[in-house]
Amino acid sequence: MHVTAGPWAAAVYLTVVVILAVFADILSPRDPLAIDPNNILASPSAENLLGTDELGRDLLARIIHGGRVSLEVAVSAIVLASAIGIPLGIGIAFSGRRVETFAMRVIDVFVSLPEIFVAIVILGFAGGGLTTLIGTIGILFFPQFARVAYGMARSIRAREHVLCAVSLGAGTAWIIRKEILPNMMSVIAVQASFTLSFAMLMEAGLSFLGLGVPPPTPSWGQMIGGLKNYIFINAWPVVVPSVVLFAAVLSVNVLGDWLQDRLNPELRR
Amino acid sequence: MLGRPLKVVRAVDGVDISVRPGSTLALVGESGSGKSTLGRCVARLDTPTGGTVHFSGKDVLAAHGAALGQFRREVQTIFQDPFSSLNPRRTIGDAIGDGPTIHGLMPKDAIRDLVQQLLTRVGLRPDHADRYPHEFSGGQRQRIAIARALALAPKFIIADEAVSSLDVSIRAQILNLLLDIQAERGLSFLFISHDLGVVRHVADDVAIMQAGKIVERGPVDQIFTDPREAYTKALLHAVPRATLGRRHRDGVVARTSMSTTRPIS
Repeated sequence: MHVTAGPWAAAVYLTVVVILAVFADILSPRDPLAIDPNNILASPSAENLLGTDELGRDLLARIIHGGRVSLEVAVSAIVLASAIGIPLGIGIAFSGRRVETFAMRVIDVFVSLPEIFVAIVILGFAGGGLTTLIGTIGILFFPQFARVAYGMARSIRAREHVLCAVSLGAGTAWIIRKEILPNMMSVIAVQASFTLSFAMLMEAGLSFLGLGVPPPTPSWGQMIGGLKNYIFINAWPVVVPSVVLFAAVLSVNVLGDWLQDRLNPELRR
Repeated sequence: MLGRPLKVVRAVDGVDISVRPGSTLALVGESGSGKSTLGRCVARLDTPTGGTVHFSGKDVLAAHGAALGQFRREVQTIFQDPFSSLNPRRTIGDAIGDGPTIHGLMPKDAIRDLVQQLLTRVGLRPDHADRYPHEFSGGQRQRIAIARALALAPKFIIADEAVSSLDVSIRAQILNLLLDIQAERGLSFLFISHDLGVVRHVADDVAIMQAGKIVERGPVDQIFTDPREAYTKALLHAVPRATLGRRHRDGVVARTSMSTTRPIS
């Protein structure tokens, strides 16, 4: 199988980010919360490989720990969104025509909501924090999973092997488990990979606005939000989390594209 | 199953057909004539708006619960397209074992043995059980579909254009396999086809369908030698005929010419 440089680079970068995030406590060179008033907004040095932030905290340590929050929120939100969306979509596909039409219109309403706006409203009332952040992003993205699952379930259901299973005496539960789900997983995987990058951006955006995890816990978006104020004093510190975030989202998208081409060549645009 | 008509259908549009036990009824018609819909109603995969289907004296459309389960065991369908009738994500062993698994008829080991027996019976190898459908050709897949249908030891099989998508040479093999199995097991067939050559080969009785109605029916010989209806005659006339002309001058050539006479109006 031929893999071009792009997906390779993306995979390597994401692997590094994930390993650093998972083992942040061991791999982080310094305490991400340790303040050093004598060494603020520093450019890279032997001491602080990526420089320091406005309180003199080590940026490399904060990037590593911040990645943990960003990934945790994005991945949990996607898991939540698919856990709600996929069963819902399949359920709608197997309900009667009336329920189907009604439920899909409701889903369309959800999809058409401006995501960041709704997130701001919810988080404004509920307050930031890991769980509310995950919950909010999960709820914002479940309708997309529901729509994809619904469409796939309907099209797979019309295939002859499903009719064949009915003819053998299979019940709805069997058909969903053995015939529908395995055949839609590749499309769902692609959908999840694309939504993951949206979720990462959403988390960053909300943290940037101060609606994410409360300080001093670092997250990439929150770091960008804090450091942007000092861009004219030293531009370096704000560039670090921005580039890290940009590269992470880009990598997820590149891998998503690759996955798309691998798993669903018929959908290639 | 005791000499009574196995099954009577009124579907599509005032259609009435019956299949005698152990015999083959061929349902013939152009595409769009409603023959597949009729087949699906008989298999209870579609529900007709009116009419009745009787199988072994029982009303199929009213069946539910255990009675429906029994119907599903005794009646199987083989579909036209061997590429979409097998789940691409499941091994063919799983697919063939689905029927007994769904009905909870036997333990796993027994199902495995049964699958291997069936694979051998339809002309495949027992070790094919662990492979996926994409590894097989159209003809092999249709053999798998047949094995799958046989796994529940049915009494009645509906073959909906079961050989239409196959190459001519493979078609004959699959047809002969179906006929052998029918003879072995005393099965009844509803054979849905647009191919009169095939029908003549397999059927005992023929029903000609046009636009949702049965226009003529009768024993296969009568339909082919002495058709009564104009539509049947037109249909028979449209069959391509192969004539072999031999030229021995060079000692080589066996020439084939085919002709289609006028289209069906």
